[in-house]
Amino acid sequence: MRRAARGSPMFWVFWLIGATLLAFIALPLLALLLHPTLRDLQHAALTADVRSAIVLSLAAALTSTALAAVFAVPLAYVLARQRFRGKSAVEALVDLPLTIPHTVAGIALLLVFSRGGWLGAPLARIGLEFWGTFAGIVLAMSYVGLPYAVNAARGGFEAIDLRIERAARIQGAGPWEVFRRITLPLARQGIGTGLTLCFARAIGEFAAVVLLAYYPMTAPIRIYDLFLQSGLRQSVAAAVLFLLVVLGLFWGLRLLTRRRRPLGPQQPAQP
Amino acid sequence: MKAAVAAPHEGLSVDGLVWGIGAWQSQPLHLRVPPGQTLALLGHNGAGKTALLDTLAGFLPARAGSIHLGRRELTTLPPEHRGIGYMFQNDALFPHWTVERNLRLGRGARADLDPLLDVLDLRRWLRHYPHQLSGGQRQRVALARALVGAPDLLLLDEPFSAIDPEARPALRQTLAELLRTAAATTVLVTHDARDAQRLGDLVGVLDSGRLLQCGATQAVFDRPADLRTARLLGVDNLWPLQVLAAVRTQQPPAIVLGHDACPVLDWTQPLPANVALRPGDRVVVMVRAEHVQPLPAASRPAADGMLALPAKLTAARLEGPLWRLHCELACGLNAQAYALPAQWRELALALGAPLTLGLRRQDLHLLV
Repeated sequence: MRRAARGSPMFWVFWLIGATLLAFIALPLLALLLHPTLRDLQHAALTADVRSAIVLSLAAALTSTALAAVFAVPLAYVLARQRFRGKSAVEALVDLPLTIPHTVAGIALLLVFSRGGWLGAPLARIGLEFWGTFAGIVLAMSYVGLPYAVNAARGGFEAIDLRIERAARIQGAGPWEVFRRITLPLARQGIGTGLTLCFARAIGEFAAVVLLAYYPMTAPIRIYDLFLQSGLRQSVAAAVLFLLVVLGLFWGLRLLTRRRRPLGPQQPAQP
Repeated sequence: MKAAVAAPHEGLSVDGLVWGIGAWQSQPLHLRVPPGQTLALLGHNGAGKTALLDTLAGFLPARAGSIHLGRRELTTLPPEHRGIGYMFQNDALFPHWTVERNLRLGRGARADLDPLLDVLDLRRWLRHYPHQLSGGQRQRVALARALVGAPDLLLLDEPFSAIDPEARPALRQTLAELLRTAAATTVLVTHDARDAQRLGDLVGVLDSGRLLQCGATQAVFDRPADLRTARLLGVDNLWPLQVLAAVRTQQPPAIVLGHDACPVLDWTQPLPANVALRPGDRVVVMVRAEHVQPLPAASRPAADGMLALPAKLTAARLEGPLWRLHCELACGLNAQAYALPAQWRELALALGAPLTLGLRRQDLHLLV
């Protein structure tokens, strides 16, 4: 049956259309990877500005992902488990950063978190500044990455049968224990996917970050700066280096968050 | 087994309990389940059975009324403090834990698992994960989890619905033994009249959030309060009849009941209190198929108090060890009866062949 479906003309047509899409994704990356020479890459890797920009991007993206884990997971659980008046408004608000242009997001963040902004001014008095700081980069990255973390984690929670949590409660476990021992482990894949997406969105963010913190330069800003100052060749080498680091990191994250089915004794169950 | 699992249990009292989900709401419910007894609540899908269990367990708030277990009021306690064991309709096992860890959460942390493992034959599977077990094994683990640590009240939601029909009788038998030995006060909900009959000391019939009838199992099955209840209890023969005549000259006085002006039987038993039947009144006579005896055609009543109704065979099929016979009475009404295989062979009936259906008058029940 499956073989017949796989061989049907419809699937051949769909494969052809799908292959076009795959080529569209792969070709620019292939061109990018094949463009610089090893010497160019070596030069980029030895350039302190490029190295520090990549390290800064990684550090800021990891910090914003950690913040997402702290703030997005509780909200995702509330949205997955509770029905309340205004829930759709909350959902729309969570999705808002996905829909607005990131330049607009950057300007909006400036109005709130710059030195004269609503929250920026009082926070500056306790030493927390966002204009041109690491904190500003993290803030901008978090703003655009959080919706991914909330939505994917919510999907992970929703996939858990409510009765499994209830079974734990009726056995005598309190809500915190149930969340820690039952819910979190079972939603691990959804949360992991959410945080990975959040990290991916954060590390590549340009528009919102550039408005709040042009300096210190993150990798995307540094690549753009190299393109303006030194031309395509220098920027391509830095871009490929950044790409390789990010791809390596995602490969690692994917291995970490991949579903691992618990293995018991290899004795088949008898009916 | 008994010494390890049985513990002094308390009875369940439900007074004016109103439960609901969203806009749907039940009628106030009053219930008493004596200590150690099992109440089987029977009802179709949507009757509010699972929502009632969820309310007893504390997952849904009681909208009115109170729930007591002995002297302890449960109405507003959180689920983890109610001391209840709950077996869900699907097993709801923790999929990331082995069977042993499933049993060790909360109440089971320090409990003696040995008696349950032996009775439910789970010792071999302790180190397995739920996805490595068959449906029947998973249900047994879920049952063990509900019983572990001797809860004060046991709630069972359709305990056999998720397992193969072939595995049901064995698990039903195991459960019946467990309930008897554990002596736990139990509320079981089911849509299967057989489960209710075999497992319940008491049976309640629930329909659209209203308890239609509740009482001792045999009494409820023998004397359903109304037609709706009779249908839910799976009564096979429900004959809509009309009073054709009241014969007062006979002793005891008889009421002739018929269908389409054709006499079917004469009713000589006492009528329910405050009921006086007049010609033209409509009634329903019910009798379970197991109380109808198939006899050769033109047989005469074997004893006083027996009725003999002429009929013809329209269908016959084997149900477990018995033959279920579908017949048509002379007046056109359908009737069902059971026959033992030997009896069926002896009758040697072909489809359309005439036969007589023998009934004892005391097995007939009149619904006015």
